[in-house]
Amino acid sequence: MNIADILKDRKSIAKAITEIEEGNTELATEALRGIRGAWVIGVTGVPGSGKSTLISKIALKLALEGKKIGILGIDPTSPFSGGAVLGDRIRMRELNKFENVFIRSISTGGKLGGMSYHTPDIVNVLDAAGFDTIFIETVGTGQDEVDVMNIANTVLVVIVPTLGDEVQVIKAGQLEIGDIFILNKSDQGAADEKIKEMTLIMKERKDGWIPRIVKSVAVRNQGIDEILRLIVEHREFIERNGLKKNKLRQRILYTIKQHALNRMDEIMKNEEIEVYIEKVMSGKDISKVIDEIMLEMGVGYGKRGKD
Amino acid sequence: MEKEEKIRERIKEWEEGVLKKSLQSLPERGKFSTLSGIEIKTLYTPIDIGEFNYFEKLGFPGEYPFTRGIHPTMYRSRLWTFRQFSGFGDAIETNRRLKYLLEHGETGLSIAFDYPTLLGLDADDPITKGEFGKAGVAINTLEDMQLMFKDISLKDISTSMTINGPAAMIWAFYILTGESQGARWCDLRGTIQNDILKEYMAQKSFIFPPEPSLKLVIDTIEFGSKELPLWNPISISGYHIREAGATAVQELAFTLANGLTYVEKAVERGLDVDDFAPRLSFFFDAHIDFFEEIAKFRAARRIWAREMKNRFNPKKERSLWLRFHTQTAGVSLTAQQPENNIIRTTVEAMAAVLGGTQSLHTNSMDEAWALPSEKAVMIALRTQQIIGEETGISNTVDPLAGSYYVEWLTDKIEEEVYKYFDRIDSIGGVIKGIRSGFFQREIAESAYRYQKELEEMKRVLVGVNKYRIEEKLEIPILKVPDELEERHLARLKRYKENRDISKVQDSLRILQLNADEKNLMPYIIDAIRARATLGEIVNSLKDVWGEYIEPVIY
Amino acid sequence: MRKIRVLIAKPGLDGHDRGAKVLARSLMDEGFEVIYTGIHQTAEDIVRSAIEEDVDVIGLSILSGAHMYHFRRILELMKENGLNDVLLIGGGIVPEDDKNKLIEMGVDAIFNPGTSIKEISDFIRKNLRRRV
Repeated sequence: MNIADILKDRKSIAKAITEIEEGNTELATEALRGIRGAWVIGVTGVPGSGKSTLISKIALKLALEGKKIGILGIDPTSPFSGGAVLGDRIRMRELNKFENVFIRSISTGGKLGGMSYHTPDIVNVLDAAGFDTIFIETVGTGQDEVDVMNIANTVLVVIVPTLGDEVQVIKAGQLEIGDIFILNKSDQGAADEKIKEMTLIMKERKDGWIPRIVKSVAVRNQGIDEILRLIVEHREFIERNGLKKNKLRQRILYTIKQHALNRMDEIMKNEEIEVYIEKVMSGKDISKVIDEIMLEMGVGYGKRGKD
Repeated sequence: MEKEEKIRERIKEWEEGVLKKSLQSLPERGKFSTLSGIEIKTLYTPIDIGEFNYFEKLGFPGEYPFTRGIHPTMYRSRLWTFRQFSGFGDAIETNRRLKYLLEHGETGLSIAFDYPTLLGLDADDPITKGEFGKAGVAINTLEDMQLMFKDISLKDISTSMTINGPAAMIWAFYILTGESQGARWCDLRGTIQNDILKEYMAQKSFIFPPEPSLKLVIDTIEFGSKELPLWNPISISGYHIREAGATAVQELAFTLANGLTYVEKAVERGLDVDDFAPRLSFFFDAHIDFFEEIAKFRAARRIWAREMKNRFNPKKERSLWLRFHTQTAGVSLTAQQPENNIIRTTVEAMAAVLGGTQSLHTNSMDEAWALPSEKAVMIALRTQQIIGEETGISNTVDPLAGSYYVEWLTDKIEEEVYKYFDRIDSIGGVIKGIRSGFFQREIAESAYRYQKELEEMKRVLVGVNKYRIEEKLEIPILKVPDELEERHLARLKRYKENRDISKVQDSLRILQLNADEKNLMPYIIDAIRARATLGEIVNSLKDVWGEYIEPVIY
Repeated sequence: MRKIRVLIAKPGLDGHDRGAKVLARSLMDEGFEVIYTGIHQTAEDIVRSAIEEDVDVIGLSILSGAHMYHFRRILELMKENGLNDVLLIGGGIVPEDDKNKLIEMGVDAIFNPGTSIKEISDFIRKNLRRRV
């Protein structure tokens, strides 16, 4: 099976994503093996910082150049009902007229870290389908949203001058993961001061990249060219230093890891797990019990999506 | 004091005696709260209104703080204006409907525009497909406006126009129509809604971003104060905020906050508050919770008078008046058993009258299904006439004053409104709140809560979640015939062909050049004289100001 | 387990989004995944979003009276794109006559003001054309 043949148009791509989310691991595997090395851009930042609008404006420029653009917008799942309202498309309407753009809204499914278990799979699908650039907009609740660095080649962290964000950025560990920091809505509040503050705390990455800070007013299309220029600069840095391969391997590893975690999560939701709790409580070693769970309940799980 | 002690004592006795005993055999049906969620007790007594300073809280009608009404005699001298919102299809069809209403005793006109017009789009713009004339009349040119008022003398009638984003342009069409009938500008009477702030909060028919929009509104206020002294250049509207789901308190708080924002901006422009404040008008919703609505209207007058006095210190007493139009609540109408809506509308209209409204629109029973039929409109108008001329409700001024419950509720609403004022201040004012989505979130939250209450049967909606029946609906439904659109489009085409396009372009260029610096009304009027259309004028300003995209709130 | 995916959109020019928003949130409470795309959507926007999001249901809210035009256009585009397994439902100010015509044309249901969320969610669950 050639994955590119399966992903022949908008509809089949959309269907493939659904199938993978339903548990078709065979298709997920094909997608993973079919990846071509799209540039993946993670975009993170607190709610209200304007992530969707920024992505929309950046993507618009790339789409006009004829690039194939994929966008994944992630929103939280309600812990009470399991439902979700996914609203990232509202801000991306101007992209609807482009044949070379694909947008998909995703719910976290209750997973922490800013993405769903299947987000890497979906990135792989779009990559295998020949998209050049893929944006991932993380949930943006601010805490612990560092997972995106595992699948993104470039990470954009969006902050705003009005929210007193610098503290939050550090708290959330985003200072460590951002390749480019974007001070959006820079026409409000004390933008220049914020830039100064941020510059002071910037640190060189392990790979030698020095994070950049740029101002923007996304709704007015200001700063978008500069952001694009910095993305290209970062990309060239990564490629020049032979780091792209690492990034790709990291994504593959992360994809597989997410499958493992997802599976474990599913198993732990099973009602039969009660039996094992009893075993632990009556004296059996936790680690032994886990071995048992994996052995007895994990078997045959992979077939589930195909019936 | 001694008296108060005595009452407290007696209440205690009553609670522990008669009340307690009664509750044992006949417990109350549950908790009670107003539609807006204000909790209501079993009984209200003098204790609940505390040390009630009559002069401070109520005074006399026609005197500060105007709680009892802005006129000394209220409806004993003149009933409120019966004003039914109408308009659909094209100008010619609407002209026919307006004449019908005038023949049946309507005393003021009220024009509804279709969605393309509300967004400043001409009917030949492809994006308007399917929307022509559906929710109101399409007006694109001076000729359209002239046709709509053919054989209706504009110097003899007042006209209210529900238009916001392109209010300045539509008003200019009206002014020139009056002129072409031979009326002087200064004789024209009426209202343009022109309240753009609530569009961002609730109704979402905005065009430009808030800042230039607000500038345009102040242009009209300034222009009106100089050229059309009898015109109300704005109708600061809570109606749409309420219909979008707000509570009575939110409706009032957000509307008054918007009103104060306009006044601030006009004063910043250098206008004397007394030159324009007397022409500010308001527009509220009359919802189904009878007493809460009455209290809301009374509180509205008191708060507005006080805030205007304290913040802007006007010399004219009229500058302190809160004059308002009321419409019964569209959202309270049900599609089920539509005749029941006549009763709902009656109760709501009574609340508006007991609240001291200056004019009133009563909804028609079939409006949960479509635009109203002529018969339904007639019943709605008759509802007002019965209240005004049969019931005796209008025989005295503010008849509910002094009711412990109504006064307590009036105070309570006022208190809650001030809490919102503080919150709005703390987030940096109305425009900042709009941009951050504060108001939209508050409103969405209330709408959601109300729906939950219905679902959980905490609120009864007769015929909807209780007393449902299987029914075959037999209400005549108004249809907008397709040929109206063809007729309109042909007229628009002819209009555009018969003009000197270079003159149009020149006038629009001059308009653009002055967009940020000058009062635009004269430039808009010039462009219309050069035969520019609504869409052309609005588009030329979009080029300068851009279009607004709202924050995402749900 | 996959959640039922519902696209909620407002076609046309009216901006009364109270119903659409309340419905979006309430369907979330019912455990659905709602893709809310907001006001002023064209038929093309809506159908494209429905394809990309691979939804089970398209729900439209129209209060402007322009329902006949918008539903017809969306049905056309759904057909063109082979969205046979997607439910199309609507709500708003729709007269009985028009309602019957729309159902004939292929709209699955029209809900008038006063419909409870439960009615809508029950309808969706019962009439779903795809396995979830």
